[in-house]
Amino acid sequence: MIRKYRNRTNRENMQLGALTAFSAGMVNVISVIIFFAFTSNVTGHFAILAQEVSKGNWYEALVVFGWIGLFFLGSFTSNFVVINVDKQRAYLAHALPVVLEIICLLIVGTYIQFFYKETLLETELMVGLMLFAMGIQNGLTATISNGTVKTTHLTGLTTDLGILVSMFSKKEYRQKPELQDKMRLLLTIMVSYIVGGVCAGYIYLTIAYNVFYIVCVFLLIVIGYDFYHTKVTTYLQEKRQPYYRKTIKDREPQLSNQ
Amino acid sequence: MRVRFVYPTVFAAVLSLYFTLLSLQPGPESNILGEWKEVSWEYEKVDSIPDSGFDYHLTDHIKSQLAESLIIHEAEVWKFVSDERLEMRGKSPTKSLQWKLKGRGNILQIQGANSATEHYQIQELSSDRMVLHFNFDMQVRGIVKMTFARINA
Repeated sequence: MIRKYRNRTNRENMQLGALTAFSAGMVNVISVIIFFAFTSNVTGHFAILAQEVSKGNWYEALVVFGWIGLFFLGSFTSNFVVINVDKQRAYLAHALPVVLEIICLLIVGTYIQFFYKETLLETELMVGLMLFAMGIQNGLTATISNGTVKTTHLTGLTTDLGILVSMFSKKEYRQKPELQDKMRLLLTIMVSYIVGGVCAGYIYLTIAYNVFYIVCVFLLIVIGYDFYHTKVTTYLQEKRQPYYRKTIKDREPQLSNQ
Repeated sequence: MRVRFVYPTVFAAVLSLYFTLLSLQPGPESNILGEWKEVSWEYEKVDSIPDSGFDYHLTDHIKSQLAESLIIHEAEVWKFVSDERLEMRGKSPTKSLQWKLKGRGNILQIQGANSATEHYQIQELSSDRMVLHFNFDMQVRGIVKMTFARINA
């Protein structure tokens, strides 16, 4: 799901998009409920930054600037890891940013559960850490899908969807498989994001801060899927090899021309 | 080699500048401390403006009706104390509540007895003036703008 070391299929993009958009939707809603701040998108933060600067609220402006910077840093980190880790260890390079994201969300979840005193500094730091995590996720999904999958915000996606729907008003575009694939992908991401947000809102009422652990489980599925398909499958094939060799060895040689 | 030097240098410079500027700015948690007196309750936004002479001020009757279900009911002077205590004085006996700031310092959370919680948006916070917005959906639909003047720090 997170591999880029061969041509990606639309199905893989949809799986990646669905799981990560679901996680992002959950994180965003939960951060609004607990901290009153969005953490999966930065467009609004840019607007707030401009607003706070115009009002002369320099402290608030700096806080928002820091949040935007952390989202940027998250995206920087994930791509930095992908392009700098040895190409022979491609799985590790792609899994490491997700592991970092999981660590960030675990820190936030655990901190809220056991230590959170609801001070403003804590709130600002937690929001910053969540924005960093979302920056990592967005950077990674964009990198491995060549910019096709971006799952933490829906501005670009809604724009693309509008363009696609208008294109589908003409038969020649409607019948193009690549455009149909794109439509499926965009709808999958959009629906997953919304469902993630709704689920977070609902389950927060019953399990409170444990929502963060659920998000981590979804992210573990993302890296676990590829681990299974690359490492486990290869390992099993290697283990089976002596058996095949043995079977072939025991057989009578057959000439193909007979 | 040059990139290896440039990247850490730029990161370090931005971080140093950022934290220096941040440390020089007083945060909203310290700005809000002190005593504030209610000056006015107004409609900030309404569904439609009936005519040009519409009075945005809430009458005492509507105000008392709206505030009836609120923690801040009939408080005229709000005193924010540093240990997150909020003392409210007014027509009714003085109440001691808890205050916290959320978001980037733009949300005021007030917690009363029996864990009732209310959230107000801090629209403006300067040395002598504070404006809170409160969104409700009771008899009148809209946003109430509460303006305060500082009595003493």
